Amino acid sequence: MLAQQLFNGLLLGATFCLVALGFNLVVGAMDRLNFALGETAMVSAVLGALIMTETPVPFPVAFAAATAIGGGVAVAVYYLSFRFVSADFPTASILSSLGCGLVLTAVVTKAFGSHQRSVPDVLSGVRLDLGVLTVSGAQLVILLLATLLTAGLYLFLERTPWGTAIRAVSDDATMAGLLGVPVQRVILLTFALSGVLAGAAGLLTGLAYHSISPFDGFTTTLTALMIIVLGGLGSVTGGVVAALVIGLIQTLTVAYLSATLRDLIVFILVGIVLLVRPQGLFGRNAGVLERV
Amino acid sequence: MIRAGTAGRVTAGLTAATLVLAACGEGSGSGGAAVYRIGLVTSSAGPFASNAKTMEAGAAYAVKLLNEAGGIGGTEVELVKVDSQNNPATTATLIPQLATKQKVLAIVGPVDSAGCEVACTAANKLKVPIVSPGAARPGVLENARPYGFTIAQPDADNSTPVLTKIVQEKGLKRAAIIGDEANATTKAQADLFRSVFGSTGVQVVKTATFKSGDSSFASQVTSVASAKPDVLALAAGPDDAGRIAREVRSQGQTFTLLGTGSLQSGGAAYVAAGGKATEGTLAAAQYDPHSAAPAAKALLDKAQAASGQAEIPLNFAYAFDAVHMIAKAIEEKGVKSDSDGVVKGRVAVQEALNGMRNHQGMADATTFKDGIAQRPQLRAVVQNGKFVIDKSAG
Repeated sequence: MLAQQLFNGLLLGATFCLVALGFNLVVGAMDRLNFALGETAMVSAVLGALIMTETPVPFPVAFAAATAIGGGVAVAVYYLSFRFVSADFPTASILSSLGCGLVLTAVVTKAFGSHQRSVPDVLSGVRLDLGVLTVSGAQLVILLLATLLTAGLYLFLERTPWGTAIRAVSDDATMAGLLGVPVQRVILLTFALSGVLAGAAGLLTGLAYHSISPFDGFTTTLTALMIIVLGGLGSVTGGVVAALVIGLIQTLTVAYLSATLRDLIVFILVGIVLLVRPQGLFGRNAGVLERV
Repeated sequence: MIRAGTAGRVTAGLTAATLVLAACGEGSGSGGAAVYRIGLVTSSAGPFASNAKTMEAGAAYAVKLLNEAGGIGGTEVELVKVDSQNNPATTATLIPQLATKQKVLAIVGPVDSAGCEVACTAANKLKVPIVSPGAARPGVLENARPYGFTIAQPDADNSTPVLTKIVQEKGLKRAAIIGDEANATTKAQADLFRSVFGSTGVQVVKTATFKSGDSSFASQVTSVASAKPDVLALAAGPDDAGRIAREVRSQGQTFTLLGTGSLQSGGAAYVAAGGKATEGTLAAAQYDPHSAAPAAKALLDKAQAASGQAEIPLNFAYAFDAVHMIAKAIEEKGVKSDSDGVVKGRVAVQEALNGMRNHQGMADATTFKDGIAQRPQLRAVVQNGKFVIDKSAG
């Protein structure tokens, strides 16, 4: 059972990872937290699930649509909550993005109802029996897509001019601007990318859980916040490691202790890390190369 | 002088406006108009939100039919809806508001036991009759008598004999229970299952917990599956139970899924959340949506045609009956609709409900015994996407 539970934990962590990376991109680019990213994931998942249930299109099309919707919503949030908000008032963008998240939840519940929406299975006939653990078709898809997206993001940031530009803006936006980097366009791209990741995370989480609730947004935001605090603000590696750790802890707590202790144990862990290592496991003090 | 004159005019204007607003308030919100007000405590959040939505539809439909038929003695009925959002503190605030501000004659709801415990106790203190169309936890009316009523018979009384029979007939030996230990209603369901399994010699091989509204049940179902049970007892609200069923089948597990009467009461939500994975689920039941009793059948057929639903859910029928029982009590006792008669009217409605015998409604006959309706003991099974009463079970 332990092997299966560890696999369940890694799968949960893989879905957490995507949205946490989205958070970290925005932190890196603007030193701001986009508190509407959880709701962005939720909107994408709800619409993605609707496409899957109401139209005959295959899962890859619905997944592509969910990522596009996520990107679009994140760009809209950028213009509403960040673009025209003065950098002198950091709390303004926090409150504004929180407000955007509330509006997104309200719009979805008004338009589609407040009930949990069922997400159809993919590859339901596929089942891999690996002895100590069994992997379903949906779990394979989740693991594959989450890994591809994480690796793709890493390669994009490390090997492409736009990725280099994002990292440059993340390190020093003023200097990057003086050197000719189009800072505003890079920030816009960063938001779009974070939305794409959130959209993917939303639908993949729905696939893992078999359902999606319009009230999942804020919970997603809180989980992502814990991950980036644990992993270190702005660190891609830290985000991935922390997401997997939290996924494992949550799963093992539910399996061997109690579901009611799940969040408590994660909060205690985050608290201890903050006391011992305030910058997180792979935070900015760990070195510039770790930063996005 | 000019200033004083202006101030005087402003004061006069404000006074007039206040009086106009007060007059408007009297007519529309505080009970002075010639209507019978019935409160409805619903909840848009929590594990039983879907049951509350169904209840709301049933109560609204009952009021619509009553008003189309001329109201009660020619006076219209108005439903005053409030949303507790599954928050006990909100519920405790809303009941006095319904009693003193809205001046309702009686209240319908909440649908769940945890909500009813708070609302029914508060309403009893304020001497407002309150009828829950779903609260079924043992002792739920302990502090709510004589003004509190529930149309659902407690699971312990209604479900225990049915579940015992299911366990014996199917020869179940190993059971697992999954429940939310932080929710009073699902905790009571888990206790009921433990009691049934204990009395039938079934070994409880695993107990798994979750938090109502959880999205992932992979970890819990993996733990349950490793214990190799014959049956998984679902101590959960219908939405959570549906998602658990889906996770069970997606992990390739084939053990029987078992629910109390509460699961059948939220059957539509359970099937909607769980889809095909819910097929074959067994549950106790106290309501037959395809009753052959003449009065119930006529009402069920009419409701089906009006709502477009193939099957009328339990909470819809119970809420419908709750409104009609209150209306019948108002009529029988000749309660006046003016605000001065509200206090006396509430006492009269309470007395009439306590004395009501064999009320023929959408959910068959209802008789209150110490505020609790006595219901038939039935067995239900999910077949072709819905709970059906297993008539062969006797």
